Amino acid sequence: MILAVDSSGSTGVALVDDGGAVVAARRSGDPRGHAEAIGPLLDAVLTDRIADVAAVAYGVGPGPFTGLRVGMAAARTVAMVLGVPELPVLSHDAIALAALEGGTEPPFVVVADAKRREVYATVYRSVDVAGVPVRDEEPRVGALDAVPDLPHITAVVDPAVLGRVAALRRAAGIAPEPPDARYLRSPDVTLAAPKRVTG
Amino acid sequence: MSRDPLVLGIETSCDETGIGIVRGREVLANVIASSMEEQARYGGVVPEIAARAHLEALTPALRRALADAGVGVDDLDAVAVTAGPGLAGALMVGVGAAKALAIAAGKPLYGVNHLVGHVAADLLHARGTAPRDLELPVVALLVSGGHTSLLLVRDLAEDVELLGETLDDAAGEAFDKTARLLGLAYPGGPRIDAAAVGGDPAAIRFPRGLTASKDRGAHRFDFSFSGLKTAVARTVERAEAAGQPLPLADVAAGFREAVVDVLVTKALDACAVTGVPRLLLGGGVVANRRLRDTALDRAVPAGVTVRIPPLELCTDNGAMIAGLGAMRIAAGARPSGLGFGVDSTMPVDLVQVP
Ligand SMILES: [Zn+2]
Repeated sequence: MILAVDSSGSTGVALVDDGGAVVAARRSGDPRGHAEAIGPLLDAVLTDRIADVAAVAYGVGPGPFTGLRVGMAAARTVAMVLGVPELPVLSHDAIALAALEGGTEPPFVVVADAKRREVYATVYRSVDVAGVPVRDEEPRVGALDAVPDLPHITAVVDPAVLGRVAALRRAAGIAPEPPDARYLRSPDVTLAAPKRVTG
Repeated sequence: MSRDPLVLGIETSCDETGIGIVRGREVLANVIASSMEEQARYGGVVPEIAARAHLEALTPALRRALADAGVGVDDLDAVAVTAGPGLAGALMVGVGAAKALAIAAGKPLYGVNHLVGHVAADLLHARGTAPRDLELPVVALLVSGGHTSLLLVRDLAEDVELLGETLDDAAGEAFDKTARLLGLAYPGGPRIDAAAVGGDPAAIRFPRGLTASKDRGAHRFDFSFSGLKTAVARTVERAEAAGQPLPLADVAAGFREAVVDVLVTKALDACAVTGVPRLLLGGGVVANRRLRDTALDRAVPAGVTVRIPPLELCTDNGAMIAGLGAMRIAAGARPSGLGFGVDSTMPVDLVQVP
């Protein structure tokens, strides 16, 4: 089975079988509090099932950085402890699969708030051999105006669907995403230049 | 538990990713990955850069620490992690990993206080060396880029009191910011030390923050370095305005002397007021030889014994967090719940989060 963790929005943890069916899932409705939530959620999903975990999928964003890292750090650590492979997943791929499962056919664009009057956007135009929507190009961050004129999909990541993306892709022999967080923005560097103190 | 507990500690409160493993007080592994080089171009710690670096460094450091200690995750008795104080986004990476480690390995988790960890560092000893005992109570002066605190420690596992702390910059931060003013690189401590060689520390008398008699009430054991920094800036600008070369060695020596003087004077005053003739130094700024020498020199006539942990245990590290976890276990403390969050301003009287 695959343990799936995503904290690109709120925090979610799920366990899916190798075909992608949900075995257990827990989500926090809180868009913050990732460090708090990850413990009880992981505990609830893994109790009595830890020996069944054969891989760990995790969302690599895009999403607010501080929360995103909590789920990534936790997922990588579980994989290390259990000695099982990591299956990184672009978080938007899970939103896209959920849309497809809900009857929305590509093309569409997954759009998420990136603050500072910008959005994260990923365009999907087709479906891959695994049955998962395949993106046109890497996600971007920018003004809403710059997003292609396609139906917008806005949703939170369902960790079970993220696990399903990983399961379907792995079964189809598609390589996982690179494991790096998709920050899409350079770090804020806010060290002030020394101020003059004399007139 | 028939033998000392084997504890893995995770520390990510600032810019060092520290993973340590101890058996009781014996250090079996102490892996430190630092993002200092990435921070150097900015002249100080950028929180987002530190947090990104923690995520990348964490699992490799965990693997290395386990390999260094020659133990497996199953062998551990517990996991400890810094819950605060520190940079919130940085702390969260460690707490997320620690919770996952504890749950996946089925081990109890202790979320502990970083500052108290610095004190615990003094009780640790390297593999194959004899343990050292710490006589309590002790006054602890903790100085780093992130904190400047004076503590009264009556019992490491459960009774720590804050005597005073900095009201503005941490001492290490003052070194970094002053280094920038002087056109020196980051980290500031070693650069200012190098620049101070041959300088006269008395040539320029820089201010000692919060040492006036009016401050002896409310701020007797507190620190302030912003006025000192401003005084250095004024000196630099005056030299520029007058078209004269800056007496760099004198400025660096005078600045360092002012910082060290305040730190040591207040620490020894705390020893006198509390009647505790023992002073423990901790934190990365202890790497500064002038601070160590001054503390040792002045402590003797004051009748105070000074203790300084080995340098690799003074800077932020995971072994001290593991060690504090082991001490909590020895004191019979219950593990923290799995739902705790990070506390960027965690008070020292909270040794462990519930
Ligand atoms: Zn520290």
